[in-house]
Amino acid sequence: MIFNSFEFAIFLVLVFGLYWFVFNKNLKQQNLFLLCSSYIFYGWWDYRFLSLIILSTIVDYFVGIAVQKSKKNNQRKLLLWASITFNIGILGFFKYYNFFVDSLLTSFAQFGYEMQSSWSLNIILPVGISFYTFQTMSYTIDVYRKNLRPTTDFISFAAFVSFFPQLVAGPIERASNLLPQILGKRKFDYQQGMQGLRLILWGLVKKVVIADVLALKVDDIFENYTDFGGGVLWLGAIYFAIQIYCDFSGYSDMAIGISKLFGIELKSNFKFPYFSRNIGEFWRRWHISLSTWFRDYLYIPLGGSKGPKLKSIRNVFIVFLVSGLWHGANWTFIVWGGIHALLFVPSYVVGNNRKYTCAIVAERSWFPTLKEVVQMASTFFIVVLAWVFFRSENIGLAIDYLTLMFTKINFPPIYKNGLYSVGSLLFLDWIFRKDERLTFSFLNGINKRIIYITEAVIIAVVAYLISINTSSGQFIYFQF
Amino acid sequence: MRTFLKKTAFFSLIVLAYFTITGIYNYNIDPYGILEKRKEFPGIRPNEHSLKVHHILQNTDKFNSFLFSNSKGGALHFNQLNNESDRWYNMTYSLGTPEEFYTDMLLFVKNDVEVKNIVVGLDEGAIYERASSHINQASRKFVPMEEDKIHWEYLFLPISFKKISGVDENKKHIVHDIYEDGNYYAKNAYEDNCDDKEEFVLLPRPVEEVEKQLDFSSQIETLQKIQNLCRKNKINLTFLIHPTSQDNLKKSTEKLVQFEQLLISLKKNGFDLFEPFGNSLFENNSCYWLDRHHYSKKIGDSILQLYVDLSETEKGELTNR
Repeated sequence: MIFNSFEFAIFLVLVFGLYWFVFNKNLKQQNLFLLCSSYIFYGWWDYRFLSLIILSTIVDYFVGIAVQKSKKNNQRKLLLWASITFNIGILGFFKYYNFFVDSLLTSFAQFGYEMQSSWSLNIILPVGISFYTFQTMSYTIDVYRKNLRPTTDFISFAAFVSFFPQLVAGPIERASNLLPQILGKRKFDYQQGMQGLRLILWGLVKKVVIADVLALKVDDIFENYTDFGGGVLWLGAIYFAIQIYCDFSGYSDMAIGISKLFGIELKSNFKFPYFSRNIGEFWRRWHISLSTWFRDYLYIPLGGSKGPKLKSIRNVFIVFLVSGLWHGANWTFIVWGGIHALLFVPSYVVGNNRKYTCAIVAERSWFPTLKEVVQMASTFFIVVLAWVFFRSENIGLAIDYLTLMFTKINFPPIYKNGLYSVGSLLFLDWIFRKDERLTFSFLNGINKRIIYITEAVIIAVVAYLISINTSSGQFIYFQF
Repeated sequence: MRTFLKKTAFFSLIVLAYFTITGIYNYNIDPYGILEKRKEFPGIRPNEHSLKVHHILQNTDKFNSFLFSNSKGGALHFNQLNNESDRWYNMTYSLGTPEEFYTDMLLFVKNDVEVKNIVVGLDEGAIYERASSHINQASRKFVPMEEDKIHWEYLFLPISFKKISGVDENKKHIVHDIYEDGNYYAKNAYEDNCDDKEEFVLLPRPVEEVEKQLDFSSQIETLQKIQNLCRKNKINLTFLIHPTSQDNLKKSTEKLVQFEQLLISLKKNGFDLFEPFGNSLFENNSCYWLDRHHYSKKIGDSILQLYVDLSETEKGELTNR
């Protein structure tokens, strides 16, 4: 079931109704219902893979309790590693097994040892496996670090692991944020519900109206890149930057919005990343739940920024390379991660990587300064270049594409509309950069009836825009 | 909760009303013909691609000769050449691409359509028009029209007032035939003051410099696939190069120059092309052109005559090299 489907709309209405009107009297029943709904949601793709989620849930539930009970450090460590090995094990097998086998065989072949690839298996990648394994691992690690007390309520824990709005494409939630909300009584809040609806609508527009439409252009340009001039290839790369942002952040918006309807707040996953002033800021605004996960559970355990500079730089590289690999079993993702590491390290070395940690650019004004424009444009420019690796099928094609971008100088005027659409999308994003999509603050102080009419018109326009697009696609991040 | 539900119900009603209206409109008007409510298309362009393929698959014995082309081939009424052994159908549709033609041909062969002759019309669209861009276009994307399937997306497409029959008076005279011969009929294709026997005024095409030739490997590959498929199934295949107008050259110089390069590359790759008027241009004349791109039936008929004049041996050579 995908969010932008008719069956999900029916599913959501049914689950919402039963959740608030039938199972709201008893928290245990409500959580059990949430769990069953989440399993139905996931099983809709392939019920066989439910066993993996259930297994991961059981392992981390019992490991969490055992870690808490255990007084011996070695035993606690052993339990922690058992959980990590299990989760990384299933992730590694389903997602990376063939990649590592093929890479190994290719490297043997380069040294003259040709081997049959009979080791490769026909493995289906379970949807969302990278998300829920990371979520359960963080729970056990937090219990191990004594940052969190393990729960003894299995149903609530299972509901936390499989909470359907964020199960297949995040945000990757921390137990410290989500679990207490599941364990505690929820009360419906009107403002929260309205914000939820707005976010769902906003995410739907991003996905169906922008990402899916751009996807057709992007696929065409990347698949036939030798047919086009450099200008069109630039446009294709920029289109992809916007497509992946709208696709993924659209999903996150919908996930956060749907959770709000159930009285649960998820962490923000995107904060207008394309208005970042340097790469460091970009990574604090892009896929926040993943980058903070790697910061807390990989970068800091590796030593973080403590110790010699060279060691810190090594840590940065490891985090970015692993982050790249997390996105997919392909060298292109690893190179993409490596490029971001290379771009990040200079500011890290001079110590200004944490320069823009708080407010969005031009927080208190309509326009950025010239310096900020230059900073944002240059960050966007390098991010776009790195996306070429992310989108290409292999490194050779990515290099070819990039070479043509710079050498085949040509921009047929028929593509000028593409520039207008990119400009309009960035302008729209700029308007909402203070997250006003949640509050519609421009409607403040207006007569209530006019607000109703305005919102009704917005709804009708959205329905129209969505109906224009006759081919709605899967979310890109489902494959990760 | 009450206020929330009231507001949600209000908004849901708007959405429901919107989709009800579009649903009723699309079901009754059926502007693309996909819902199979409309059988005639005066002044309205249906999804010719799907309807025509569907018609052939439903009537596998009715035709055995096909013209595949974009809409330029609409005025090429090959059914005028029908005889005891050849029964022609015009498969042309707006912005059709060789990639799509190949897919359709495969479908024909797979579904036991007996095919004897195929003519594939080519112009600069072979380079610049992409099958992938049609996926999102209601009037062009290929819709498999199984009987038991409801095409919901066509039911809820936005209302197009232009598509409502009779509203666009300028196009009311245009008829897209699907169920007889697949041709495109336009009243202004038979200008009263045009003399059918008058010689064409052809202009020499100026030599244009090529700045940078595009990579045509994917186009050549598609055409080779068509060629191989025809060879394998013993189908007479002709690649017809559509004539072009002086006006079109002036406005799309770059595209036509690249198309010229594609033709050179095709010839180098062993393709024989049927170029009825060689490299000449037709002057801008309402007897020749319905608009900048589409030639009239007068030109169409003379192309047919030249096609007939190609001896069987020549056709065979065009096919089987």
